[in-house]
Amino acid sequence: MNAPTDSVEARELALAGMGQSRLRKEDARFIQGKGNYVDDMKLPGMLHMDIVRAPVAHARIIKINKEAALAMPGVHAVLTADDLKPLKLHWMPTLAGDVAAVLADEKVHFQMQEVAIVIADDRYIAADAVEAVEVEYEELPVVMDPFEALKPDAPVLREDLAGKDTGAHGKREHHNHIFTWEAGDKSAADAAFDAAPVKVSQHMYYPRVHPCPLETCGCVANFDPIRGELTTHITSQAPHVVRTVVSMLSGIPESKVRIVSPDIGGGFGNKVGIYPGYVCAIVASIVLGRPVKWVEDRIENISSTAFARDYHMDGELAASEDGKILGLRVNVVADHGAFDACADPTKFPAGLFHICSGSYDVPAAHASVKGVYTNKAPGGVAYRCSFRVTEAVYLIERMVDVLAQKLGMDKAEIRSKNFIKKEQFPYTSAFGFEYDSGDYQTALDKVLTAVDYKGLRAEQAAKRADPDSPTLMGIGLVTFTEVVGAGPSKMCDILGVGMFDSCEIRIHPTGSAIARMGTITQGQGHQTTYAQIIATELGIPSEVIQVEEGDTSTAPYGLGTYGSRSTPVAGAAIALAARKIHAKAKKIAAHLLEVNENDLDWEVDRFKVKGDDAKFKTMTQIAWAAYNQPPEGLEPGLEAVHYYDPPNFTFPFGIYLGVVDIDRATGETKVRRFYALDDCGTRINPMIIDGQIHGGLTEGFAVAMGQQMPFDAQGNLMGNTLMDYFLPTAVETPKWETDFTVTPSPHHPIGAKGVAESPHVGSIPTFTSAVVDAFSHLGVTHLDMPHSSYRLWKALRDNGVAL
Amino acid sequence: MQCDGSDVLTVEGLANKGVLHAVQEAFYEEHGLQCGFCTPGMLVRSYRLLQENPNPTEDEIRIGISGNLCRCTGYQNIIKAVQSAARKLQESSTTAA
Repeated sequence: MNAPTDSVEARELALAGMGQSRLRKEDARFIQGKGNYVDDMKLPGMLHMDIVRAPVAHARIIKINKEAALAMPGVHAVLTADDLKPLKLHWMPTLAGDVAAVLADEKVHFQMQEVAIVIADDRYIAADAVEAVEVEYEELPVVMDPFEALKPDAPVLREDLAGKDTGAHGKREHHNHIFTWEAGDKSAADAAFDAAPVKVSQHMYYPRVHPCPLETCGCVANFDPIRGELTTHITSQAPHVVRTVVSMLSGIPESKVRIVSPDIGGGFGNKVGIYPGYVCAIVASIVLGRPVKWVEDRIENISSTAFARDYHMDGELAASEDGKILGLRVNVVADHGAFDACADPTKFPAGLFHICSGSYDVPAAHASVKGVYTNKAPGGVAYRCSFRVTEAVYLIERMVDVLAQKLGMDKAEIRSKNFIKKEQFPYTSAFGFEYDSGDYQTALDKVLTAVDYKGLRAEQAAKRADPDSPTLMGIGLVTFTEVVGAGPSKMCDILGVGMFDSCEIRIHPTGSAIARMGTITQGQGHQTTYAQIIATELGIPSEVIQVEEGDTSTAPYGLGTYGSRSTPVAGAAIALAARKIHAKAKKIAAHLLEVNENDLDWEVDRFKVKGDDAKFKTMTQIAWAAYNQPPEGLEPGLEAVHYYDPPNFTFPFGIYLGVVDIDRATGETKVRRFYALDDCGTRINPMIIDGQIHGGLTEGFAVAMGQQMPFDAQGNLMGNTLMDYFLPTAVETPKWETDFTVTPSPHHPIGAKGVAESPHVGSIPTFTSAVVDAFSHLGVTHLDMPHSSYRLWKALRDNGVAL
Repeated sequence: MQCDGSDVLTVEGLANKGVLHAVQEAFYEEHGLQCGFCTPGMLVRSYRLLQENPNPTEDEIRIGISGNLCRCTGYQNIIKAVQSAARKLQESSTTAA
């Protein structure tokens, strides 16, 4: 307890609340090898599951022969779609209103699709038994290109949808067409283009990539046949949604289903979806009455779990001669693979792509996205971004660069000219988003000064004038706005469940507390940052506030952690739950001090009587009283729960500038400098923010400079191991510089907007902007990702500047 | 087979009767971990790296840990942690001497 003479500053420090870079509470177990990940779990009688997967991308299944596998010692079961049919579980609903096969039902739709499962005593026997399952396929012509898929004579991929000319998102125009989604005002946009003196257009492809967290997906399903209860430990970013879906699919009441997300080794969107492996493990556990563990390997993870992006985008900007944007048009062909398993809010099959007017005051805009089936794994998911925001930000930032280049304008100057100005917030975009707050110019000025932008341009000019310069120097600039914090339930739901979130806080008699939320950390530090919010709101040291997430039997219902929604939504629920407790505590304090509530002030960790510093009650003292001498009319105890339905999304923004030097002989790119300024509103723990910014920038670097998932004409995924899929090591990873401004969200209880997907969203176009800038004096307006050494070596040769 | 007859040290063996090793302290203090999945490997690798090279440069650290992947941290704070651990180990060896 603090002595009354401790200063306000000392007491604030002791709380280690909001704004402080306090060290993390979760670290103790991770630095001592005591983390609790799914694959750490060992239960008595536990069996192991492995999956027989299709080697081909499109085929009929003629026969599956289980006998050899079943005959192997230690094999308990081999299940196929036929075994799931009586349970009606051979197909399952996706989060996007489509259906996906759990096990291939008479037909294979993508290479590595799940065809059968094997349950055995250990994972080695299971793997051997997988090899012993004989499957006879009749190959069918494959469709690997969404444009080919839409041709009239293209092979039919989804025979299960034959005759269905309406999908979850409207009319289907073709057997391989999923949906066409539009936003904005087409006639206004067309009129703006017709009248505009300057028009630019650019085709760009955002390659298919994969979030590839270090820990792959898995679960331990445990059905107790005596109690009729199902418990499943699972790598899930949304455990409550999993519980609801599992209950619906299995018929087991939700009250008897317990889903637990333990420690998760990175999510990045990969762990949002419900995969066939989970469903099969649960079915196997129910059928066999024993725990069943399934953990996929790296090849399975990259080949079959949800990919991201794969957007073919055509952007157009209309402008005045002095660079003022008058209109934006975007058309996208979206390759969703064999099933639309996109994890988007139900009403948005293209996610929040319509943030693509960006940080700019665009008067007229229209976007359309056409979803298409191909013989690839299903998806896509939001890889370290809010839904489709990476694609949207890439599109607009590339288009603004293209426009700048056409007009011979500086990239920073054209952005300043078109920024939504500070006074215009809250700002309603041409696509209908109400941006909460922003101050882009201040942030841009800060970055340009910090890097000496003028000096860099001068250096670049000198290098361009020197024919012997061994490198091409490029400067990339991106001024992005994201839309995160999904979201208001009237607009945002997952399978009908509104995207609110929740927090319950209980203070114990001796003044420490426990709090539970509907989100689930995968490394973001919630056990620390959430405790910091409560510490500041309630004057209890964050050190003694236990934060728990992920166990659906104890945590209040929430929609999980992805799309930077935790702080905007759950963080608000935390603050408001705390304020309910604060209000009750004030009543108790008034009772104890024998004054009227109006005579009390709150200061850091105590209620003080106005004008008498010696008369106060700390939250610790109030907690004891709450259990022992509650005032007349008040229940004992000191706790509250709050479910928060946000009134709006939040709109974090950032200014990123990168300097690259491309070796003219090898095409290798050195990232000389990368300056990332983020504005996420109120900053809870600067150390944790910076750490995540470093991580997001590194993932963005990987996407821009090397990640891809190419397929050959037969449908083989070329490179689904870490030999081919680019995960940077410490050697390739550049050094990052971070900065910030603070523009709070006016509608959020603590002014916070959410952070740490921004570095991924913003850095990817920055790298492209820098690489293209290195070639722009040669007339190059765009180069598609990835900007690998090989691809840039070719670009150097194509443009006559190779050494 | 390769390790037959050798001592194998895992992360659980770094602390000494509840007292954290310098690398563990350093990772905690420098925020060198987020999801924790790469951490046991990073810790044990850092331990060995500092045995081989007690005063590594930043580049030597980057090369030294290049066999361990991380998706969360971008390696920046891990490098600071190794540098901090190097200082701690040097200080304690000078004190001991």
